[in-house]
Amino acid sequence: MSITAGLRAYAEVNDEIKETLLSKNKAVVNDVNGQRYIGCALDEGRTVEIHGTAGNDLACYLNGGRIILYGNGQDAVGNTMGGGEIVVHGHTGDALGYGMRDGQIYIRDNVCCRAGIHMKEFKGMKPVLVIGQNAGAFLGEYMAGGVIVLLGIALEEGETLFGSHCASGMHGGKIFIRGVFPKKHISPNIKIEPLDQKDRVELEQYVKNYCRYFDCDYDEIMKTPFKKLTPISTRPYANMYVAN
Amino acid sequence: MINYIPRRFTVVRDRELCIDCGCCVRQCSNECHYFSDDGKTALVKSDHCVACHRCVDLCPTGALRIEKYICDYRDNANWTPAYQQEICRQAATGGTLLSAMGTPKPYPIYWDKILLNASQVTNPSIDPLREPMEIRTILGRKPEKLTVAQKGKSTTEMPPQVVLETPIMFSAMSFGSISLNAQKSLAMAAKNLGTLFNTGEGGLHPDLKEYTDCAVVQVASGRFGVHKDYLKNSRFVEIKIGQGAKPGIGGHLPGEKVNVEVSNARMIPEGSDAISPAPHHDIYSIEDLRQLIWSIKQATDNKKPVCVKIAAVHNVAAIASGCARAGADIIAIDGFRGGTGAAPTRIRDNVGIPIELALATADQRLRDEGIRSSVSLVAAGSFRCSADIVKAIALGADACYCASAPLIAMGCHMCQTCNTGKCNWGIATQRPELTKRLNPDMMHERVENLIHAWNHEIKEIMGGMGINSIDSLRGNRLMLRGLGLSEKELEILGIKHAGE
Amino acid sequence: MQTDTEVITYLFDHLIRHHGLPVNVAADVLTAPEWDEIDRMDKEKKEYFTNLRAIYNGALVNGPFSVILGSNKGLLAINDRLKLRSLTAATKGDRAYFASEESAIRIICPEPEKVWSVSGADPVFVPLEIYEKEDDG
Repeated sequence: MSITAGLRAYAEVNDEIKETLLSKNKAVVNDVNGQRYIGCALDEGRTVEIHGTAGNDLACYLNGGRIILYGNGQDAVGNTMGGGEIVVHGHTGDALGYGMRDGQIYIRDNVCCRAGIHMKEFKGMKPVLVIGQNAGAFLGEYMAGGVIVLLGIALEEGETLFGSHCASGMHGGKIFIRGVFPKKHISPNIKIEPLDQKDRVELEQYVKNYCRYFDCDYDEIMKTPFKKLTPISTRPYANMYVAN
Repeated sequence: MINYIPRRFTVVRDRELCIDCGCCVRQCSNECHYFSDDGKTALVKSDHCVACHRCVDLCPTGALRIEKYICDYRDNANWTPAYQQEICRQAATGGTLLSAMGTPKPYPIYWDKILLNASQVTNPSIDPLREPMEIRTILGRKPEKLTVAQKGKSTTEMPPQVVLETPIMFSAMSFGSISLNAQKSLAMAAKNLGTLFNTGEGGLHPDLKEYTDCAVVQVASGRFGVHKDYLKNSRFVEIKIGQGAKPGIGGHLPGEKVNVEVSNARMIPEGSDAISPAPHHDIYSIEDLRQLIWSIKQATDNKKPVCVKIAAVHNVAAIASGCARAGADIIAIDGFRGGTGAAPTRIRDNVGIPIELALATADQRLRDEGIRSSVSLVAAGSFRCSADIVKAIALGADACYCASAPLIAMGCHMCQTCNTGKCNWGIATQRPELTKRLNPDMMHERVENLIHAWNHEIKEIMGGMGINSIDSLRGNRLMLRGLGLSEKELEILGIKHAGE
Repeated sequence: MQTDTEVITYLFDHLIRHHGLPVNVAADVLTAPEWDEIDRMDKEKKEYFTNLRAIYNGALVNGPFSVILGSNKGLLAINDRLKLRSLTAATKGDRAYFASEESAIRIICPEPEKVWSVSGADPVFVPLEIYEKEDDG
């Protein structure tokens, strides 16, 4: 028995989802038209499957649960996510995974601006963001930890792998980029290097997941070489101030 | 011989720390330190100490300090010791009192009574470290509107423009008032910072030839060193009508500072006082100014903007409007706190008005008359920090001229005795044993550090306001609020009171 | 003027009607690209944007905004320079759709051909095709 969102207010739809999840592990929502906060703070062991266009703040504060979206997401998907998994069979808008602490997000197509801002790692927690096509400006701004993977599959004429100010203020974590990329859009304090063995093992795992979810050719994707972006200094602004 | 006036300062030597190395003896050009007859003990004679701190800063053991020589007079709020002593000096010599650097009098400082805005909630602040924050400034006359063939193709004829990477430029300090090494440090810093330095009215020394692209050359009433190549080898030409520290009178370089090099640069005899005439003798009215401006444009094939520098005086708004209509592309307004190598004390301390008020009123007048875009306004007259500059830009300045600040970066301690030519830091002197102490290869870095730091602070403040381009700060008086100002002051500044 | 909307409308009116600039040039005035980007452009474009920023420096708009401007010339979708606000565009056939959220577009047009996010400093202008009827008489 699935829930139909239609044009109903988000509060009503979300209440119905929560109620369904009291007795079941999975809720299916059809005909979603921009309802916000679906899957907000969803706990581990629970799944919400969505058909349609999910509204802003999808799976915000995700707490270990699983979200599968058959459609496009809008802004702030996975906002301040604390763990779990989000799989989007489409694209998303701005501010994807802002402040992500743990868990994994797989986006089949492209994402807009400011994806992965201030992702952070701590002890056992490590967030991962895998993007199939390309990203807009300010990808990984202030990144403090975790991994972003940018695959650049099926880019069109004139499109670049990422927009301006990529990794501005990055001081931790890694970004794996595949294929041709616009060097001029990479911010200062970032070094570009090939992957080492440990990186490769890690990357393969993420790409395998992506291919499994979206039915893509793993070998074909892995033919194109990857590069790794990391910060040169973890304290890029250390010399900026003088005691007064 | 009775002195009538006590000395100003006492040099205090801590005998426990002093190791009699003699560094102070070698460093002080005012002969305040000397060795005992047996050459073993360093002694002090404080009569001519000016508190320049050269000996204090160089003493390897930190054994020295300078104290104000407190010799009490009976309390008198009206006949202060300063006024009494100035009378004594004049009684002894019959001379006009001469001072250096900007007026030290406690007139109100409007920068310290203006507060800045920051963004919250309704408009996000912008992070200056990670988001683009632009302070590039373009000076010059702008046409009324853009004409295009289509998007991406401009058909506008632009008058000559000057692109600066920072809104801060170095103000006029002539070779003569300061040493060549000091001027070279400023020139090198200007080049590396993407901004300009100003030759002042001393001409451009041949050693600075490689910096002409960063030079503003001044045409002052004395016309020192003004010839065709001087005009052509510059970024823009500045006609100096007035100077904030001494409105109404010309430049003054005492003969002590006119050595052979200065004499060559200015083409006057060595040792003679270089006193510029008060007016330009070919400008007796506004029509004449127009003629001079266009003469320079003709001489430079219309390739360089022409700037007119005026002192901030009572009718500065009307004067600015007149200059704009006379063809000036840039107008520099110098407030009464501006510095100088030498100026009559009474003029320095009593003539002129603060730059804050002058700038606000000139900017407003030009806007009211619909001609604001026809000129760029440069403000001068004491900017002590980056916050002062932000406030000036918000009041309407396109750029700010700084002079005392970079000098302090190079070692100046504001002892205010530049006119004696005995500057121990090698700045305001021509004596070779003193000028060699200032190494341009090191000093330019200190000046650059200062401007880099100020640039960054300006960006931080702008980011806090939610602005990411200085274009949006310019003339944006809504970003300012007054604190403790009268209705009239708020009205002239064109800002509201804090809380409104 | 009391509101942001009035200010932006006034700016467009001033630039288009008084200064005679085409709509897409007026849009460039409000969201001009950064100097870093302009420095990397080819000569003609560099001159265009430099002149534009020098002359209209006071018209640069700061702060987040998402604006759709309609006139008898067409529809303009424009976003602030730092892309702080959402603006989604979509096309299907000879129709263009703009909204702040994609879901809004899909309610009206469930299967658009192309959907994209309008980026800051890259305004989208859709001109109206005006067919003039020939006079018979």
